[in-house]
Amino acid sequence: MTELSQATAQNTRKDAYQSASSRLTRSSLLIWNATLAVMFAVAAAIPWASNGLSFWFYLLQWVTLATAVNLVAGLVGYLPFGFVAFFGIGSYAAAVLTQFHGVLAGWSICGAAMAGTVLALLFAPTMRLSGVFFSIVSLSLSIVLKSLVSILPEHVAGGSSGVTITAIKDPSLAYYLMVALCLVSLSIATLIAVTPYGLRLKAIRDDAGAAAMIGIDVTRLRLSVWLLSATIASTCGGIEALYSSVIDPSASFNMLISAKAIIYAALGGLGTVMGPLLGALLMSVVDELIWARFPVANLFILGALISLTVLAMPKGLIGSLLDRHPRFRRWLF
Amino acid sequence: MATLVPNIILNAAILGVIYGFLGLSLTIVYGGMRIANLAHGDIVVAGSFITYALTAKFGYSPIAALPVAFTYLSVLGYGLYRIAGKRLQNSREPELASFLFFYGVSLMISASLLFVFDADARAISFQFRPLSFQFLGLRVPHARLVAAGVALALVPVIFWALYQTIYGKALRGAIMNRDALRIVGIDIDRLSLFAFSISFGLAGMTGVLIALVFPAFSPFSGMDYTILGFVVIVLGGLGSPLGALAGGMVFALTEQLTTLYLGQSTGLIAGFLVLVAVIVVRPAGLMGQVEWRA
Repeated sequence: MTELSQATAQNTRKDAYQSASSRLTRSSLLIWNATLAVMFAVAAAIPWASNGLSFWFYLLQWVTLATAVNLVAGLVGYLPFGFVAFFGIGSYAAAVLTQFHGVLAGWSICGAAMAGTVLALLFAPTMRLSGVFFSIVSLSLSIVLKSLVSILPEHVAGGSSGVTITAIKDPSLAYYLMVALCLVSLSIATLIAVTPYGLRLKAIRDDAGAAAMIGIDVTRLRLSVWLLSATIASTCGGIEALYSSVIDPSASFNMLISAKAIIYAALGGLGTVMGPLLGALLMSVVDELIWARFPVANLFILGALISLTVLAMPKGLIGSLLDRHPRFRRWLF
Repeated sequence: MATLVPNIILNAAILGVIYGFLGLSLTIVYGGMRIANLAHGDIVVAGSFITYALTAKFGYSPIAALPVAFTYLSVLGYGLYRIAGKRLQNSREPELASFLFFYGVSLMISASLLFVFDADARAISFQFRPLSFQFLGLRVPHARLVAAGVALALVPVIFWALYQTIYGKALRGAIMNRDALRIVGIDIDRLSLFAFSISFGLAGMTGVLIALVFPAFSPFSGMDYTILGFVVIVLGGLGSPLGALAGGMVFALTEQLTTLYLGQSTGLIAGFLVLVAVIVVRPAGLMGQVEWRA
């Protein structure tokens, strides 16, 4: 065995010891739940306090998407570059149902969720692939889907110019739906982190062979978390369609949506519950500040910021903090 | 129609060579170092803009841009590896870390190009004489022929370097097994630095060729070429130089022929579907030997 792999093995052992010795305490969970409750009370009050609903809506959208992608990327170890496929199919399902079939907003969101689940089942065979193979096939499928949607006849899915929803126009309803979805997805992530289900998922991520050996049904667990993540993303897409009321193939299937969700989650800390929340909150604010302050150099600064953060903290804010100060494991997860 | 099909096939073959060249430079870095260079397409576009600057501002032939693009961009690669390479490779998940790092780099490069050249799509104004050649009833634009010729001349050089020189052999060794390479006493950091700079230089040269083949490029077309490059090497088999060429050819032929028979927007769909089909049937890609483990 080389020196390098010995060091890695030692690290893994150390990590296992630390996570076993510092289970989350009841009080730390209580604090986390209270923090969530306060945050969502604030989020629910925002329509009365502020006129600029858009910033807050998209803030919640990014928190939701980063949390959803983290279920797959952080807990199962797949990096879905084509994650936007689920978001896009959800947008389209909701828009087509409300605009062309006169379905009520609530039901069209249910349709969006179902579309995501079905698509995730169709894409499930790709989970046999690993590493960059999975990522590239996932990306390809999202591009194929985008092209297919744009060549469908105009009365079916609006063609390449997209769909404009005129049947329903209620941004504040969409905003509340997004608040609810965001809360649901964070609760799901928290539940996964504290139940044996999450422990099994982490075992699969660290060593799928060993996990199968001790009797974990690897395929079924992977599939379940994949479906969960995809459904959250497609519901999110559906709500965004209702909020913006204008969708088109290139915006709904924009690869930047996958990239941003993964980057926000990774900068906060993949595999943690708080990481994606923190990453999405911080980066949305930073994004907004940079665009306002430096109209010319904004893109350059954003790029530099991402690169430097990765070099300084390769495991994200939460992950690197925990590496340096393992005693925080009781409070941050 | 009778001459249309051979014409399309010939043009697709030229495109295939260029796609393969694009994959070749990417596979050196990804295969050897597990660094997912998400900025690869932006390096390519930077090469195209260097060509644009040289031909439009100074009136040089695009051929003169080849060594210039190679030099500038391999220096950029050298610098980037010096800053980040070691840290990325030593991190727990090199793929994820490099994916994020190079996404940042990609943004910085597009922003710089945007700053210098504005957001408009550009094309090189240089024209070869005669504009196109005609033989056996086929018509090929002169510029495309030059691009394919350059690529075809460079490919044997790269293969010679990879298979005959000690550096190339070490690099292919790194693609197969990094740890084993350390055991036999190869300075893998120096090797990586070298390969990384070369890869960036080659990507820049690909940019020159792409400026000759495609009518227009803009500071934001980088991501398209990154995706194309990854698709080509995954299709052909990661870390396989020959596979990259085969992947490029298969992708270009599928894309162009489908476009001919089924219309403009179906070409890309067919190309990606072929990729998915190949990966499902043969998870290691056309010429890959091992199934890559995450």
